[in-house]
Amino acid sequence: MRRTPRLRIVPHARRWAVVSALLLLLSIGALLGRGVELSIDFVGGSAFRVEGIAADVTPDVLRGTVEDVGVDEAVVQVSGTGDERAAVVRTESLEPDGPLARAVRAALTEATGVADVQETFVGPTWGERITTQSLRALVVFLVVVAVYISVRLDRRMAVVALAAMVHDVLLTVGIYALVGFAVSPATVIAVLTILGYSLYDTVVIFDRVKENGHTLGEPGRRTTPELVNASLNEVLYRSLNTTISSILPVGALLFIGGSVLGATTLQDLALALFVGMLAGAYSSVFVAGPLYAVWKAREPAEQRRIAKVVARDAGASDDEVAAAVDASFEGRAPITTDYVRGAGRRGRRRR
Amino acid sequence: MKRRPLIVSLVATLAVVVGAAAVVAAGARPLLGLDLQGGISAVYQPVLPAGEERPDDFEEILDETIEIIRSRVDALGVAEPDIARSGTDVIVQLPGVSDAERLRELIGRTAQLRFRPVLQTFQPGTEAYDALEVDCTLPPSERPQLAADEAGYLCARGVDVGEGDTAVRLPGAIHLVGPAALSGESIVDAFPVEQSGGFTTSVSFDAEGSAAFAAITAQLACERDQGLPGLLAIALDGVVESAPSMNPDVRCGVGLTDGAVITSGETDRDAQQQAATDLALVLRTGSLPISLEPSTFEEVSPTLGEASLDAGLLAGGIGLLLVGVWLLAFYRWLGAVALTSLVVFSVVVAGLLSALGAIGFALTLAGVAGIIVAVGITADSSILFFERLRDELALGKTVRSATIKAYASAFRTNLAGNTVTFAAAVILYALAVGPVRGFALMLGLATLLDLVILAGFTRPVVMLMVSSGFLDRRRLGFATSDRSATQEVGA
Repeated sequence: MRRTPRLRIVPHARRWAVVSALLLLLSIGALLGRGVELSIDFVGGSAFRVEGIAADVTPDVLRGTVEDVGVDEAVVQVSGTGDERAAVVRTESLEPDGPLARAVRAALTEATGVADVQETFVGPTWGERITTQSLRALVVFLVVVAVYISVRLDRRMAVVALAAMVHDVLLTVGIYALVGFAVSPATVIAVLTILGYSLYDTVVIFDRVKENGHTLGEPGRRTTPELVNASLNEVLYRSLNTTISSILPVGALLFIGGSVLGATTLQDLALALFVGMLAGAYSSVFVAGPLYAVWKAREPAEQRRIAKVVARDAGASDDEVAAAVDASFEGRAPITTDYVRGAGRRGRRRR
Repeated sequence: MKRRPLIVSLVATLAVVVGAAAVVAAGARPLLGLDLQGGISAVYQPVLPAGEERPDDFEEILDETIEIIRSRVDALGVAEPDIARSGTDVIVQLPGVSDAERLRELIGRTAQLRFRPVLQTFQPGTEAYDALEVDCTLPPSERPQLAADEAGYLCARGVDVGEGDTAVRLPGAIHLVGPAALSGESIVDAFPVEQSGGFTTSVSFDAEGSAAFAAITAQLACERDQGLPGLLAIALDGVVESAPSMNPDVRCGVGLTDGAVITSGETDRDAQQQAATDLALVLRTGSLPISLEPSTFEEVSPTLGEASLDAGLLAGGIGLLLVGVWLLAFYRWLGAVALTSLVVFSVVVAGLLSALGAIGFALTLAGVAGIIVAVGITADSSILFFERLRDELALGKTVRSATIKAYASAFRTNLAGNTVTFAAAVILYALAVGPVRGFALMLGLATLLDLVILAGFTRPVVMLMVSSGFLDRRRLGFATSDRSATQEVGA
């Protein structure tokens, strides 16, 4: 039988904070430096897709062909090899089957010899609309979740859970900026799923912390940080196994979806989910848990408890304990601080 | 741990699974979205003529416009065209169609309302009717089109007989009509009016329209006096919606100078009201031709659709297999239970999708992704339960009491987590558009299904295995003696 792990997660809060800060800086740097490319679904535009083009048809040839017809600027992407070689030509919004769109189709057919050109069009106002709608959905969702966690668990937990979620989404979007994938509605779906996942993971952990609440004061969990640490260790295997179970299908989607011709929606979705789930698993254990513990430890009641525990550890008499508690409550150091703290640390190491 | 209720819930769940499997075995298949089967998918938005403001009855007019477009698209002979309204968006889904040019022609054109004098009327069933080379069973857009200044044959709207599945549309009369006297743009307003005698439709025209209307009614009144039909055909998009005759009050050479009141031939009061309302709507639609402009337009080739579907299915299958292997390796006997619960989940989802397909819900690529995400959610409920079981056993409890405690706790946690995911799904479904909704629906269903499977399948199976004594400490990965209980058995 495997034992419950005894990792010192909360005591090392500073370490995880540094890791997260570095990752976040990297993400924000990538976002600011490279920016994210928005798919035509958000900015509006037309895209023309030809499948089964010969190897000698280069993106430059296609771009030239399309721009000769009268399109201002065309962006060409070629994917796949052999029979599955396909190209997507993105242009500004051209009315579906309007004169210019028809000319583009004809030019592409001429250049590639492929008769069937598939056209995609998104009007300029449509993108704005789905962006607003997505954002509105997001805000409503966050409010609902914050209220739910506040009621079901604790107000602090709600704030921390949302912070961990922001952390995960930032990391995911940062990866998008790094990889250079265009953000499409599929990405939005994925990001919203990540929000759900991240919160779910965090809720599972906080639920255990709350359930363990009555054991506060028992050996090994005398203060809230200790209690949180113990709870985190208890759910560690669950987090690990759930993450593996969730990541395996998404990984399959990422690698298989990516290798199949044009299944870009799947690939988009899978990449975001893959990164987001990893980030979610990490952040619920190493960000949300420690953050909550550190925050909770700043409460006066909790500080009194910690002071009491530390003093007891040091073998102080009841009067000295009371003095230490009072001192911590009044926010000034008790006379015995140095002595008590040193002993406290030794005491903990012994366990 | 009473066995009977456990067996009952297990049997109930298995009955649902068998039912779902039967649905699939009987040949029901999920309806595939256009991104999975190929076709044209487009969203149009209504645009009013320049300078017009959105009137109060805009909604009704838009519905009427969509109705006209639907009848035009029917002419394409598409297997299952789907034209639906969502807010003011008009969503057009045409499976297997790649004729973008034809679609543009059909949808981009506004509906035309024209008033034409009737020269001659042919009633169905007469010899003269059958002798005409006009086929009123064709969809309106397939029939020869009449230009405004042309004379020719137009079909009246067919008459619906019967209700539901037995409804039949009988062809209407054929009218030989003259060139258009005036068009719908001249109409200022049209509305149903209740009078002592019943319901009529009142229509008023702008100055130019009034003059034209007076002229045509004056002419028709003379024809009536000469024994000719003297009917005024009101044709919307080439279909004669109504062909009222001239009232005796309308005098030859004078006509109606101040708008008109049109009385239907109905005698029943309700039918009169219906007819008056319908005609008013036809006139309003004709006076306010809404054109539809594309917001999005997407063509997907059948090969691309198929490739996406295959990729999704393959990824889902491989993912499920990998998760199964992992769970088996990690949880042994419990892993087998978890794996079976995943199979149960897959079968029920397949049945559910087929059933949803029957009521018109199409599975899209985003929906496939939602299901794949749900695999993780389903596996998680088992994992929560099993991890908790191990914790309880490690405290030295008996297998039986540990199982009961572990289930209660795992279900509570799972409920909390699933509530968050479910909230996400509901909000996404309610507020988002397009592909996001398909994803949200699958995700929401999956979270509900997950709770049902945990309570109705995983719980009874594990508890029955425990109460029968099969699942003992040893099979749960705990050595029987206390001494070795602290040793790693490996995972």
